[in-house]
Amino acid sequence: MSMLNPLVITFVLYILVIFSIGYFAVHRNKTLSDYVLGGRSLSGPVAALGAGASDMSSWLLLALPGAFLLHGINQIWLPIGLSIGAYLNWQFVAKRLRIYTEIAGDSLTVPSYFHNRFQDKSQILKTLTALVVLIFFTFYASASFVSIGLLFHSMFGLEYKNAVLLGGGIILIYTIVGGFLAISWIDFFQGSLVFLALLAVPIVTLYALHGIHPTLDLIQAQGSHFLDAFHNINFIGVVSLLAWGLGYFGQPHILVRFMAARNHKTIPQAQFICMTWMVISLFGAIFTGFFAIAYFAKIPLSNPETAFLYLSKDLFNPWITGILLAAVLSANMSTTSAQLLSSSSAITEDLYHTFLRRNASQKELIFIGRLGVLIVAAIAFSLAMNPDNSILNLVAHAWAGLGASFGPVILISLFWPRMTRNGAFAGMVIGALTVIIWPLIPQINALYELLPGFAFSSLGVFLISLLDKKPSEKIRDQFKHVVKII
Amino acid sequence: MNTGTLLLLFVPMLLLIVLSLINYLFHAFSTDSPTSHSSGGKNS
Repeated sequence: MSMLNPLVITFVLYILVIFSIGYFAVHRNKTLSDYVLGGRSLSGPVAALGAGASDMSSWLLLALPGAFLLHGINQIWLPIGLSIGAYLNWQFVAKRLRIYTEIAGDSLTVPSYFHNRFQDKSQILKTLTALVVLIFFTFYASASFVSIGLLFHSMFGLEYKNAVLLGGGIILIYTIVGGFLAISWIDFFQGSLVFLALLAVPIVTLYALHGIHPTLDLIQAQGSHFLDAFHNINFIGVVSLLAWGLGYFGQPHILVRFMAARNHKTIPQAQFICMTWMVISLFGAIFTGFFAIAYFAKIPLSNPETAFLYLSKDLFNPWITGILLAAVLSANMSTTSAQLLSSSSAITEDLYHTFLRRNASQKELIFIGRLGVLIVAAIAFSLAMNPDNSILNLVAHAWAGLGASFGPVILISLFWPRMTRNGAFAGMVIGALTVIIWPLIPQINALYELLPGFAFSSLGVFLISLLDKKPSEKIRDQFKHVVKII
Repeated sequence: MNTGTLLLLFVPMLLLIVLSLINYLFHAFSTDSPTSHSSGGKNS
């Protein structure tokens, strides 16, 4: 492909913008708090789009439209579940977590929050949480590298492994150098790009298909099941798709955006911006896939997940196509960078700083943070070298694993002063084990493992906490202090 | 399933935007009580 190709030029410009934004953040990294939490300085809009963009990977532009193209409107239950989950997370977790993490020992990470919330002298909670973050985020980052490889391969004809290394390399550079502030500002830019792309593609596709009625007729002609929300899906299927929303409470890379907000009063504004961004972007992805049923009626795609890419190429000027494809890359990059930084902060703050070098200087900790990003990325790269993995399946394990291990523990810890360290520990172990074991049991595995994982974990938290002795007065006073501020 | 019923499927998601807006406006226009606290961050 010629270097003067509009796609290539647009991409180079896009990468230059990304690096320029990252450059401004470099000099603001003076402490580990700056590097992993941006010094808790995010404005409402930056926190909002950061949470949205780091949540929605290129799954939003590739796999989700692909699912609608393949199955039709019966996939709607998944976006509905996700939207409700994200809303509840902002409504019930964001503000309390922002306040609590600052009052409880200025916790910089989710594992540190658990440690400080329960004043756990044994370090077991922090260690366990940090290890869970590391394992699951490696899967997560690996899935992101797979999709970035497929994207570059499809767009530029690059060999898959080279594509993974090139795309991943760009993410690595700005994440390692710029830290949390860089990824937050870049997320804002990337989130805006994704939003515009998901508005443009379905609208132009609909225009190309001569409006809504001819489009619906064409979809109907492909099969009436495409317009049936309950086709080939039973009650358990609907509940399973809705249950994806439960995952939000336990995703450290999203929760840190709450923790990094300038103060708790910015949360309602951020919530409104994020929910607007999310719902409209999901609509864009849904309609992209849905209209693609009509658009590709005569020449079906061999891989439905490429619908957005082909529509972008077919319907737009090459310069605009370059921007639209940059949006796909954006969605992927914002999620991957957030995952890499979260796992790196677990290595640095929760393991290295806690066990190896308690008196390490801030400069040393930032260095270790950067090294951590590199190590996790290296493992994720090696896992991603097999392109036959399905994006959604890979992410499903990480989403359910984190959601069931951390979600109930986070949620209950913010609202129930009687919760104990042992209750939290039990909840995490039960949640993680359920997610691992549930899919192996053929009679019941039709139900998405996150739902039983979340339920059993919650039950474990309540039961073990009530059997345990009451938390100390110091812990209860801290809880009262947080409630008073709210 | 007709078009009207199809559109109903999108209502729950739109409702979440409306609820978030109401929540935002409620906070934006409610005045701070004299006893309210900041969460005390260096930038708060």
